[in-house]
Amino acid sequence: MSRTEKIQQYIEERFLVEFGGDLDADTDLFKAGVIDSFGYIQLMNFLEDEFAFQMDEADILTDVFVSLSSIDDFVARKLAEPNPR
Amino acid sequence: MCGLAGFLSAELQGDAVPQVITSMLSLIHHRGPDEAGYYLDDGIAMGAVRLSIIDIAGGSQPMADRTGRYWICFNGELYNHIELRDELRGLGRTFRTQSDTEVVLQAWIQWGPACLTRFNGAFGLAVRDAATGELFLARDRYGKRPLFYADRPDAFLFASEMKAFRAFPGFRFELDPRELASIFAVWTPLPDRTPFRDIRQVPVGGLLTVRGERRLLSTYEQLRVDAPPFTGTEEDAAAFVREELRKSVELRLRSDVEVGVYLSGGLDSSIVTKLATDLSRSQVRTFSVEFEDKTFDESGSQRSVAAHLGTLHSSLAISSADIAENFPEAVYHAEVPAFRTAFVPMYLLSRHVRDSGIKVILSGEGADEAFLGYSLFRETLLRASWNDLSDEEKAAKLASLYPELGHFGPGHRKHLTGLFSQFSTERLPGLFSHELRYQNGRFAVRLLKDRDEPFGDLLDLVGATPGYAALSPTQKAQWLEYKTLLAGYLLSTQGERMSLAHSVENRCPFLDPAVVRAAASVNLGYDDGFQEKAILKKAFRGELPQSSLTRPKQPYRAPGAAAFKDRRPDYMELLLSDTELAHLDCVDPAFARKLVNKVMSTPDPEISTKEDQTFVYLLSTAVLHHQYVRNQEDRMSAAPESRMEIRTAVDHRLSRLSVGGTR
Repeated sequence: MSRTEKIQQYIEERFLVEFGGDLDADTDLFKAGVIDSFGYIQLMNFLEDEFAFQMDEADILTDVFVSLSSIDDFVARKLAEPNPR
Repeated sequence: MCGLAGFLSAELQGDAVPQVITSMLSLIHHRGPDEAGYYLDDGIAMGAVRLSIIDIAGGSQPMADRTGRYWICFNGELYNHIELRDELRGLGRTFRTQSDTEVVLQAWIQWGPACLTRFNGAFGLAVRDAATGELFLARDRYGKRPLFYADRPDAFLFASEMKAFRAFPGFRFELDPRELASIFAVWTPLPDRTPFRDIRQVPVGGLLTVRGERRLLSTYEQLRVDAPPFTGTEEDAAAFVREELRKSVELRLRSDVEVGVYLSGGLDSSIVTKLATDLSRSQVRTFSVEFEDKTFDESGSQRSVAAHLGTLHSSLAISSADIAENFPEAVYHAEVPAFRTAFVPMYLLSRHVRDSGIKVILSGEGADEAFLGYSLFRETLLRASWNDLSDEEKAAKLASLYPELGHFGPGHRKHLTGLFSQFSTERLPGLFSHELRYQNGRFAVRLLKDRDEPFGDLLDLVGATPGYAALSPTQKAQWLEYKTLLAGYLLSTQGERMSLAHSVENRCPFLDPAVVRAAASVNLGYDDGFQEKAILKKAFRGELPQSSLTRPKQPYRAPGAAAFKDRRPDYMELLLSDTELAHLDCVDPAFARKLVNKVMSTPDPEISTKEDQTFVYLLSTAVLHHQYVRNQEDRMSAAPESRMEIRTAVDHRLSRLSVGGTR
């Protein structure tokens, strides 16, 4: 399973949605009522565990975690860093 | 305390009129089992069921003035009726009874609708002016008592509970998807709305005038969450707050029957218990629920306060099975979809209180709204100042925010920082304080096929409210809490609808206008708001057990989806069967199915709060639909009690000129 598929599957199972149906990769998941504070924390933990990196302050404060594509891009960037933290 | 019902109709004639009004009253008989009465005139019928509390012998309703021009049905209590009676006597008005209802009537005749701002009480009322043909409907300023109406082509109906409309010929309930979206998103109906199409509420602090075809809805008193700052020392402020509360409890102990107290074990109800104990000649009786599930149980604190204050304490143990078993009956009384099950224990507690011989209860509702008790207010303060804080300050304040929520714990601080950064600027104009909470609401709206912006009507409401834009973020949060969660759930679904289901009247000392003003004048004047209700704790230091003053607030909650999962009561078929679910034609069956499957198959700790809430919304909506829309009697619990004593029956219709007394 690809990175994108893993993230998509997690979001679909965890938040009871289907991409392609009610959402697309660019849908703002907050505005669409998919993610709340509890879900956000779960999602962050999932990304760190699944892809074995640690977010830092700079990552957290950028506005990237709102859609599937922005989350996926972020993970791709983190994995491309020479020494994933 | 009572219930009222009535209608304006030119079409209904003859014997049908008394039959219909009697049937309407019988559907709300639980609100006033002691006696009933009605008044008929050409084109109008109105009546009341009465729970006798003040002037038990003389306060029968409907009541008219000497001339027979003004008729009143009054649901509620006027706490300052003694002072108003004296004032009205001084103005030359005379009285025939000792009842507060007559004070309301005479005040109406003396001052007209301007009397409403003079009332300190909990009420919904209907006044008929037989000379002009006008009908006036009004509600108290905080929404302690309900008043619904349905404006139809053939008739104008009004009642304390919507279920009374079932008795009107041709009336059908229909769920309104637009209102359901708003309820799911906001947690409660908006102040003038209901989940049903074409049924409205008189909003809190509102007056509806009906004259012929004209309808005029006005606000006789705007909610004020601001006040000139108190200028004394912190000690003076604490003493001031204590004295206003003492006076409020004293007023609410005015009753011809014994008054008990709901004791949750938290600060607010402990304060009410303390003051009631000081002001009562006999030993005060206190009542609590305790839960088998220790996650929700507060019985330790309850016993400690009861022992400290020397009350005669009685506690009712509630299990998940009790919640599952009584959910449909409680929903029937609530009449509104609910996001929590915590109202069901209150339904059972009121039965226990009634069986103990108590008709009137004091409770702590309103304290958190007035004195900034909820974590929501601290969250608002934090997010509003977020971009001005250092990293250390952010971390420290986040840590203190929701001690009861695991995901606010230290392990998640970094992620929360990211989340709060996203919610540090306003997206929904005027709703900044509630934007994080409303994320849960947006999830619940996914239950519906139509998912248009569910906050549109709320945005319009705050946009049109005079003075709202100038309030601080915290004051806006208060305003929203008063208008939505307090009036639309805590005072209604969890409050008076549950207590009146068993003929128990509740009174809220923290919701006295003077107490609300006092709170507004001291809030954030002596502390930064991050210590919960600091001034209130100072006001009662040394008078309550130390644990009441120091323990972190424990929100009152009860087992949610887990209760239904464990017991699988038969009405769960409404969700488990695709055929049953399809009856709810506004619900998206695919999402509903996914949610129900997940809840039924997932271990409890893995079900998130929003999933739990959404499940309870869906189940309560399905039960309401079954009871009210499909009229399925098997789950239309609480069938109207058969025997109702009609004590007053007055018929002024030209067609039958007979004035009856006792019949």
